[in-house]
Amino acid sequence: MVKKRLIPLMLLKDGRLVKGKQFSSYKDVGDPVKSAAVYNSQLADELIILNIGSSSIQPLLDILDELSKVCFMPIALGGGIRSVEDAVTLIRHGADKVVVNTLCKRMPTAISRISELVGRQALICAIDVRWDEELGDYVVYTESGKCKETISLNESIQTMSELGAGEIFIQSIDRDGTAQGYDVELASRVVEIAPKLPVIAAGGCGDYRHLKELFLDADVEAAACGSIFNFSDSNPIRAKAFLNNYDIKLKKV
Amino acid sequence: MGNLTSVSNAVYEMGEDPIWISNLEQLDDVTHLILPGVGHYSNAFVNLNSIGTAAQLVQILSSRQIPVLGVCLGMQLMMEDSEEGDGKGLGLIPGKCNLLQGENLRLPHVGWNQVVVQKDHPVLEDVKSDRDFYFVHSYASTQITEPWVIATSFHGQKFASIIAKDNFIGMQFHPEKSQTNGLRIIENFINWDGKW
Repeated sequence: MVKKRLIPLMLLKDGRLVKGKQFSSYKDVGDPVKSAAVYNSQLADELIILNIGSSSIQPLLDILDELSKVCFMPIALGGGIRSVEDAVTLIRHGADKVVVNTLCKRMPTAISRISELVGRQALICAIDVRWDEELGDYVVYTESGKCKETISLNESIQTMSELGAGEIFIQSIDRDGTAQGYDVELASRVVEIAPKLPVIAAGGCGDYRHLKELFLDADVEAAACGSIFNFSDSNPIRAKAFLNNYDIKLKKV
Repeated sequence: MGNLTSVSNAVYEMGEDPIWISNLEQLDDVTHLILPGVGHYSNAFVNLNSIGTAAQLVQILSSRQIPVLGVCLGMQLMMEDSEEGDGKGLGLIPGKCNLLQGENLRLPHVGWNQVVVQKDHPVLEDVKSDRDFYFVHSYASTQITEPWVIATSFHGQKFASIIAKDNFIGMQFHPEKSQTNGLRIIENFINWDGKW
């Protein structure tokens, strides 16, 4: 059986790692390569690095060589992928997976082409949502939370699945950086819509108990963690020690 | 391919200088050979044939007895055949690969999964059994009772995750992406003389 994963989520801006709250007010939290090396030694299961500072993949390429020298685990990169070529370039330079979001909406044909070229296993489709009280439903956003989309969450996930997504990354903008816990309902709903795709939940983790809630109440394959590792002395090793008490199947080293 | 970079980085991390070879003459300079690979069986076979004929390669590797490690598709290429492609494998280790089967099975098999060691091998020294390694594949060899099977794993069905014969060893998972335990395997391999 494939194990559940803990994935540090790193945001790249102007060559530095940052962390914000609800997709704004970003603070500097360190050097990307050094942090990746630390996460590697703390036995994280995978890394996701999202470039939020520019609309090209250049900042990712700038760190990729160094990153793959210190990181002996799968690395997923995204943010600024605007074409099939961008995705293929990242894979060729050592990324194990690419993360696409806005491209899924603007150029769906590119997504299926990426899936064909690099393989479904290397393609993570990401969705950022905010809860809309009036609508009584989640609303999908692109362009790092700046652009509101008309497509529904369900439709969005179904389309991604048909286009050849290998995994779905679902992020709650409302919970981002709040350390109040994952939106477990949101995660469960995504698993229900796409039962054949591994789901990675993001947004809100501030405590090991939040990880426990997520894994026990939603059938997600992975939890992405930002604030918890950025702003506390928590780390993947301790998180796993805690989760082991609840029979959550994690990587054994 | 990115995979080539990852494997090179892992070898370098363990204290040896890797080179990428593109023709058979370069084999004279190497002490250990790694066949990496993620991708389609047929393409990999075409790539391999561009280095030299498969028959020449097999002849050199068997007579010089340099240790050879096949990773993922590289392991499958070391075997005799795979359902996935038209080209025959190198046949350095017997057996063939097929698409993994199982009810509602999620393919490709991606992620950290357990490797159960069935037999000792020098390349597995100080690596405990039942540890998790990183897999990315859809095809595998399910002939798990054969004498060349060193370790097994399970996804839908039991399959061979490590196989070995003479100076050849193949792994279905990616040691270069499997942190501490994976790097230990790489280190053991580069210190292995090909005998066991």
